[in-house]
Amino acid sequence: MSGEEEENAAELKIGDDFLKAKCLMNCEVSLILEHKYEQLQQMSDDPMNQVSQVFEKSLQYVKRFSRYKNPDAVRQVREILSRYQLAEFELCVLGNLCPETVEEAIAMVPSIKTKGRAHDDEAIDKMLNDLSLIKKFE
Amino acid sequence: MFLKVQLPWNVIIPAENLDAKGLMLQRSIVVCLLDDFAKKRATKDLGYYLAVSTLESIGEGKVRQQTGDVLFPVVFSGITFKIFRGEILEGVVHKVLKHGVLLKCGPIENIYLSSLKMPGYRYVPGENPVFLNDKTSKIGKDVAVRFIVLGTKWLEAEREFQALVSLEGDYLGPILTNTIIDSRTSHLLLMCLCTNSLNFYIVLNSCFIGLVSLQSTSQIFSELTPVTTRVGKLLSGSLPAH
Repeated sequence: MSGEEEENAAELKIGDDFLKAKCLMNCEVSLILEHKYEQLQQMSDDPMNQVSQVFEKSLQYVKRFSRYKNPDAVRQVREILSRYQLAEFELCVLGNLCPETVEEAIAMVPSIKTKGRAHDDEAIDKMLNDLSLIKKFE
Repeated sequence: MFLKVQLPWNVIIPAENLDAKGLMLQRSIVVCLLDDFAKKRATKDLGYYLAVSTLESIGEGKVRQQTGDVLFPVVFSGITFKIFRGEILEGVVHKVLKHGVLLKCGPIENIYLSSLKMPGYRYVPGENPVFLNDKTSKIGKDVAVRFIVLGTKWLEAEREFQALVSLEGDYLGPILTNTIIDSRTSHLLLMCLCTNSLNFYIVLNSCFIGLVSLQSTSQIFSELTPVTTRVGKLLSGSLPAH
């Protein structure tokens, strides 16, 4: 990463490596980790002993902070958000925090309103609406 | 933020674990990789190492002189967790101190929110110390808080990250989502939300009243009051599905 002092996620300055890296939403991580945990459960009586502390703490965290539980809903969230020309990082912040208003969405992801990007309030509002619909029918 | 990364790795298989049967060798490589991965814990660049998702390829083994161990270059994808400056995240308070609170967020436990960065909140000492503001918003143990990351620090010796966070900004502060109500009342709470023109009432069933008697009623209700502001969301269908 060039110039670490420059890092600022609010302006989407997180280093080129990470800008291109695939980010995962909490709900996606939850599905993956729970699946892994189930696999371990089948192999041993005491699966908690088999996993690292990092794994255990992360699993606890994503279970509490996942807005979508149903695998189909999780897939739909990514599909809908990817229609809006967002960076991977922005997509996941929106999917994690589920803002309810346009104002809140911009506060959470200020970079969506930077110059040269095609997100007007109307488009953001439509996106939030689509997201809340998934939640409603989950 | 959780990241999906592709990593090259060198797996060293001790000579005694080498087996002529191909499957056993593959197994040794996977076991060894998972072990190394868990031991590695975290790196400055990629953050905490959570899990290996797929083993992409196993290169050709090279015999190491002297020991006779074989080194296999492998490529795999895995999940990591890294915290970025400027990122907005949610975490849980695990310790309340006089001058601020410590939060955990994913694998990171040392996230410090100073009282200087909680505008409007004042420290209330007691057996369970909390930070309160004028709108009866509360930051205490086990409360979920949405914050912005001011800075991060990598500790090489402990292989750990620390972060400083703040509540200065719009839409930051304690959050009371349905998941928290859910865990606190553990499936006993049947919430029925009734509305008249202006006010929302929360009607609780008898199971919940039984639970209330264990704690103080007023405490539970003071914790539930912020719910009313979120009732719109609850009504729109985000009640936990049992």
